[in-house]
Amino acid sequence: MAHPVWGLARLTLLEARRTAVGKAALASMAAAFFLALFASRIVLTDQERVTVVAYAVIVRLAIIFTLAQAIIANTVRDLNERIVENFLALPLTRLQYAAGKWLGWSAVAAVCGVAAGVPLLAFSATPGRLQWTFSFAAEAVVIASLALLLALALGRVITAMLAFCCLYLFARIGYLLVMLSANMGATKGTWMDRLDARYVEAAGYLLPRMDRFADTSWLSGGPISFGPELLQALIYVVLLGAAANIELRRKQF
Amino acid sequence: MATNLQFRAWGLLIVCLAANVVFQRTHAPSWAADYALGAPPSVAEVRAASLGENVFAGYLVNVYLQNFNVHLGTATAVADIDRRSVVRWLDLAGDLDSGTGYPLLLASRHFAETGSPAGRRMMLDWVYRRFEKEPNTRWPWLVHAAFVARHVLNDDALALSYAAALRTQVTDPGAPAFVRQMEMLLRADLGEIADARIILGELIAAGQIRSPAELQFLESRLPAANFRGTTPNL
Repeated sequence: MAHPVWGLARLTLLEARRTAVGKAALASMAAAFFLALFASRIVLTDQERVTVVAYAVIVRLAIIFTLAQAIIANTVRDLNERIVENFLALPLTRLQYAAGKWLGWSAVAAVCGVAAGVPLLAFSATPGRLQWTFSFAAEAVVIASLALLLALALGRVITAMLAFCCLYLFARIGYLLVMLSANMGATKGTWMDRLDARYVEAAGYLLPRMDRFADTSWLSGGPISFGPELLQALIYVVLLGAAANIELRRKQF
Repeated sequence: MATNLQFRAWGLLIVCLAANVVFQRTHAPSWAADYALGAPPSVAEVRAASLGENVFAGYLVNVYLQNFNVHLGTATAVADIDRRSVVRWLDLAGDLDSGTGYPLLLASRHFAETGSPAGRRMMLDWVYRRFEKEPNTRWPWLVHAAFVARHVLNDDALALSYAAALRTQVTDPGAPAFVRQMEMLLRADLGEIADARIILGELIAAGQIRSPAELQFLESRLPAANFRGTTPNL
């Protein structure tokens, strides 16, 4: 008999299919592709490079926010309609429930990430397509984990989505803020400036370096550094799992 | 009573709409301020605003600069755009994405072909400064700059100095021979169309023009020149 975690993962996949997450992701990819084609029509040179770069930038945001919205909305609905309690009435621990949901949504995220890289195959002169695709799939899995944790912890769609947007945006530019704060006052200035700089730096250390995932410059001839972000993904997914464990133990169902 | 309340609701809506129209009319946007290109944001600010997507942000800066003369649906002469601001925006685009020749194309063939002689020279100087940093990859843009100096600015000395820089600084064995022979081409005094034909043909042969839009743009800069029959399909 299959482990209940796998059964829950399969149910999550079914839920994703019935709530048209795949169709939404495909629509996001199509929108990104046509916007990229439009961008290539308004530039004077580097048309193929512009198409690839614009597609990569737009599809990343479109897929990430589509996934986050789907995961948060589905999880909050499970909480509000007491579907979680039905599952927990079965011989299933809270952590096993979270693991099942995580497996299902991670699979959806990974498939969306790989699918987003497929249109890049049309651009044969583009370097780093394979690395970008797998790195983006890893980013999507981290994002799915974060969205699931936020939905379980906060229990409201708007609050969880707002928290997700803030965390994702900060994780993307956190390293820039750390550099800026270091330049502006970490080593000099008033004690207030130094405190601000250290505060920003400390906040940066709590979040993953999302800027390292699927770097668009890989597709435009820049140096490819594929690998460290997979370690970052592993560390942060385990960290989120630990946080989910604490949150589920604390929560009253 | 209900009719009276409905009448008041409609009255309030109409009054608010009228007040909004009056407000918009009395606070009309300042068109003069929008014509000025102004100072660009810093590289760090653009990087943060674009979530670290430097290459994409670089292209957005280039497209903004390229189309600034038709800003907000009102055409302004490219010649009237302040060239000192243009240089700062070009620096921003170049610093965000050093792997593209887009800002060099804009400087050498878009902004250097109009405006005052001092403004044009400023554009060509900027191309030369960028060329000096990476002569083996940026030589096509100095070739354009030498052409513009010779035939648009009519400054033979400047054109020959660029040609000399091409001869002495381009060390890449893959660069076509005509790069080192630009001085001879300029001294031969063949005329604008013939020079342009040779330069464009050589750039195509060297694989330096990869985009149909770029070829179309460069062709459009040449009065009475017709390359359609001689250029390969891109």
